[in-house]
Amino acid sequence: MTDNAERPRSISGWYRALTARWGGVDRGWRAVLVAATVLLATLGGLPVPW
Amino acid sequence: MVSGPRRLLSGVLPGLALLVVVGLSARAVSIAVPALNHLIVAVILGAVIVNVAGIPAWATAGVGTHKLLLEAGIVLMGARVSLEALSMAGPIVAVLVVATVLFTLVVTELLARGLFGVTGRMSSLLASGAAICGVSAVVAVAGGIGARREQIALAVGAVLVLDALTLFIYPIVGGLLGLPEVVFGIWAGLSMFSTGPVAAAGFAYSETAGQWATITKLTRNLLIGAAVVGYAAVYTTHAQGHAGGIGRTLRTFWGNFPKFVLGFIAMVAVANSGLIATAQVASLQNAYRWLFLFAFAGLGMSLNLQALRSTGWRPLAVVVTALVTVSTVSLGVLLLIFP
Repeated sequence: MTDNAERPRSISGWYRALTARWGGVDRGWRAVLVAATVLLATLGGLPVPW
Repeated sequence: MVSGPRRLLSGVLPGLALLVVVGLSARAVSIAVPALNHLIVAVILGAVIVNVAGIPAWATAGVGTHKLLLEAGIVLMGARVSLEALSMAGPIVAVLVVATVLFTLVVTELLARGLFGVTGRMSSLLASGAAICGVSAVVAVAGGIGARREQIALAVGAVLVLDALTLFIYPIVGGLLGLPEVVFGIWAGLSMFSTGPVAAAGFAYSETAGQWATITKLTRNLLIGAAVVGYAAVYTTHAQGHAGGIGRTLRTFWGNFPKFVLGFIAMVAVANSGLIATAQVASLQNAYRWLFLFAFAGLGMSLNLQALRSTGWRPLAVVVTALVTVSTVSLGVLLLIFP
């Protein structure tokens, strides 16, 4: 990223550039995001029946 | 931001819907026939669909999310894991995992090279698949050592055949031997191959067995980065006489690290800090049960007999012999430790 034109212009762009260097947002991270969403919904009072 | 939701709707949702339908059908079957475990029924229904009708093209992407569902379920399972139980048996499990992985690597390499004439990268792919985490380990190590596509396909095929068999055989053997839940869970986590079948066999045995099977398997999965770096170093040194820098090694290690395990650890910490009420823990437990059910429907759909038939007998003979050896030895050790 020596050229200014290649620099990310948004927070998400910086995030992608940084994570890409260390393998990107792979399936493991996506699983954490799914689980975090379910956790927040449950803490927010959403009951999950079985 | 428009392409994301559109791609989700057209790509992933139809297959996800298929997983949900198969999962709900399995649940209905297990309610009608309580003797049948819903997870095993989901795997069988999935396998029947893929082998009779095949997976339609519109469902392929969604069905492919079954590993994501499994990993998300494992993260949520952290809410049910007691830190007290973990701290009591954890160190023993960690030692057993490291010892078993090393033992399996050595046994598989020796069997492959000495008994079955499978040499070079192929034997290393089979050893990493048997020792650590099945298909993921085969693919990760293959990338590190520069294995050929057909070698990867054969090693993955051999691992998948054993996954399909052990998924059903382990709970039956555990039941016949009357193994305690914790012993069965750790045994499955130590000796079976891929994470999905380990969790399925564990939870088919009992809830406690499922938790211990998954925790043990996660500990094994943590070693995948070390195996990739180790094998890459061995093969690079042999081939070119140099290894990559420390930065490259760390990136390889981190690139292959199963990040969802960090989510699982965070969930154990949050749940044990008392932040989550009992009713909410029950909801989270139900959430991961659903995720596992849909994941196992997808796992069944990955058991394509046509594809598995093309696996050569040598790789299969190597992993079967290694599995029987490691399985017997690890069960013997476990019964000595947990009489």
